Amino acid sequence: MDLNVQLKKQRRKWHLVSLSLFAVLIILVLIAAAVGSVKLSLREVWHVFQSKILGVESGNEAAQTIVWQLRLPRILLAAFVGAALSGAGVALQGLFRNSLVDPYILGLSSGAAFGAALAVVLKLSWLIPAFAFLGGIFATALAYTLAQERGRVPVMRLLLSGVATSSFLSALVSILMLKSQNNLQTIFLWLMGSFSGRSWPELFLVLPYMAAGLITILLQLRELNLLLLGEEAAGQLGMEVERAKRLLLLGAAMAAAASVAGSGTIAFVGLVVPHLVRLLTGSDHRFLFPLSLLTGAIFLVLADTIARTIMAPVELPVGIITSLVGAPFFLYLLRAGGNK
Amino acid sequence: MTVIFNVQGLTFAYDKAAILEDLHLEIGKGVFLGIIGPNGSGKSTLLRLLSKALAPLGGVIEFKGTFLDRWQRAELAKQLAVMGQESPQGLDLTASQVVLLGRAPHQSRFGSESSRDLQVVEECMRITHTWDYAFRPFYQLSGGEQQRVMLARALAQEPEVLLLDEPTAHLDLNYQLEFFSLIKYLVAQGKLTAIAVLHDLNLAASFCDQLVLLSEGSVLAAGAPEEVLTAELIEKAYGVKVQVGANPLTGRPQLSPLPLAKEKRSLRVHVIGGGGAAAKLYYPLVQAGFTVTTGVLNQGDTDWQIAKNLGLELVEIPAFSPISQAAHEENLALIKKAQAVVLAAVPFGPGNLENLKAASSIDKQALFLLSDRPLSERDYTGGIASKLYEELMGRGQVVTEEELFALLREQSAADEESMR
Repeated sequence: MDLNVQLKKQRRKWHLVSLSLFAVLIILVLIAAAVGSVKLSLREVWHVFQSKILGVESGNEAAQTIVWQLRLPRILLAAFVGAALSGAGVALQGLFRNSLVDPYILGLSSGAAFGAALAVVLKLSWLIPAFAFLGGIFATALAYTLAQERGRVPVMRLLLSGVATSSFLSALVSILMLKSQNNLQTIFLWLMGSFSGRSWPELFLVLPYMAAGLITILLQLRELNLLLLGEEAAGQLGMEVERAKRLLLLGAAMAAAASVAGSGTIAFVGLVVPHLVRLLTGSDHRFLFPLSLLTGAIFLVLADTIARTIMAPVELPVGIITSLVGAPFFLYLLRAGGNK
Repeated sequence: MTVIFNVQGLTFAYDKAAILEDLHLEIGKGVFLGIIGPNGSGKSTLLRLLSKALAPLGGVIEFKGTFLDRWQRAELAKQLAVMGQESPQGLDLTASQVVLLGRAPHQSRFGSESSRDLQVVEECMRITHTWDYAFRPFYQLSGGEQQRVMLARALAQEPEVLLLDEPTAHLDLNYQLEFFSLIKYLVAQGKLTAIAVLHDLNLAASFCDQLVLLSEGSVLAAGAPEEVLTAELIEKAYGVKVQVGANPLTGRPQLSPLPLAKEKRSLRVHVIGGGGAAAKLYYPLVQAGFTVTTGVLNQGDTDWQIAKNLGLELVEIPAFSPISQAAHEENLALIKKAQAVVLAAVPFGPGNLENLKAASSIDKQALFLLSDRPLSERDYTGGIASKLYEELMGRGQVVTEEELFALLREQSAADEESMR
């Protein structure tokens, strides 16, 4: 037995898995760009990519519009939202040392929903993403501030104040929905989460925040590993615990709030994906985090493709698919893993 | 002596009630120091303050000449490691990954493990005997195995000072001894200063160079085990009377709690013993609340030793000498004062035949003859003892130990009833 050999073997294995998942994601994006109300062949999709990226003439204007203007930005948004929610899930599950935590636990989803509903009621529908983002960040900050005690934020208090904040804001959302019966469907659809009609502007609007959030988490992976031993032990290993907690929370809130701004509140991804990947990789966040990003992206691209094709021409909210497909699959894996 | 920790006027409270109050303590380099004291005396709190997991409310802690709050955590972690009471639950890492976390203070943020890191991890796992399961998931290990992995993790920090909070709570006796032997060895090699909160006073006595006895949040005594583990100090701290003897193997102090009578009974019991036959009776008799006297015993006899330790009123004669007339009469006087007389299964020879005769002096007292061994097996008087014994059997009851205690309790209850 050689520790060095073992560690190298492990690292090589996860690099290989990451590369394979990345390849799967690329192929999935191409396939997703081909399917829809207008069926295109993979060759046609490939030609569009060639012409857009390499400047090769393709001639098929309709295919170009469908792939490049309608499908690709939406698919990419789904991929980034999936990655952001999963990454935020990894950070928060690690922070709370609880694998039942999801990115919405700290009132983020209700805060975002409140922001979005407010925008709808104020007839500022084009500002929904901005309102949702700010609402989500505001709710998380509120929960964090309320949980503070002598300069520290005990995670148990944070969870409880998150639940309370969440419940309070949900009540406000209900009031707003009752107040504006005629906008009920807009708000409701937004609450279910959907990528319908999203294009490049939406993608570029939220991408910087997701990226900033995920990079913030990426810089704290070592801290997440130390936190596995408990906060006190992590501090005794030289870690500035409260600072790391703040950064992790900030990163997760940014990534998740940007996701919600881009697509509404999509359930289940941020809870399930980290959980599933952990069954595979164990708790070492240096592997868990990147693999969760890729898996989350794949999962949501797949779910969105199903959402827009399964009952075409009607589109389902993607949140329905993530719960409907994700939950049984999750249970199956849990049981299979339990029998190991 | 180089001072590692200098604690002055330390005060701490979680809420309002003070846990530590004006605590002063100096800890030298290269010792194995045990912190002992009853529950709630502030042992663990002191350890957490020393590790900077808590901040003092008042007073100062100096670590290697610098105030603890001036130490960067990252720097502190290179010199000070802590092993807590509990192991983390459900940790989905292999044992070696856990130990590798102990290298964190020596690693840069993004650097991967250096060959030195791996070397230290392997070494620490070998000396703690955890290398055999280096690649097994931590959560699958037994409590004892997990605790040894946690020790390996603390040692992997290559600390100068190791703080331990009841580190062997989940370990079997053999691993406890192995654990402390390892710590003691590392300390003796000059590699480590160890400061451990310990519950087991005898364990503390046999392994620690120095002890600190805490009571109600301050230091009651500090020094070598012999200076700290005295009957007086232990009673003051724990409210328990103990007998301090010497460990038969190490010569270090060894504590045995004295019997704590739950209720006082008025009954006075005289035990005729000798040859180790009555040894096992004294402790439970005292514990049951009876006033116990005994005689005549040879000095150095097991019965004599235990009766002495328990502080019983007794009649003694020099070792190997026969019972003198004076001793016999003293014995009779004690029997006269008692309400019950117990004749243990003593072997009788010409030297102690007087003890058997003393038993026949009973008047109103109840007489109990213990039936452990038939007299024929322990009669070295050529039949004289047997004859006397037969006569006694008519006057008293032959009983087992269990029956003896039941009957004594009954008699005691009846006596108390009639006195009312």
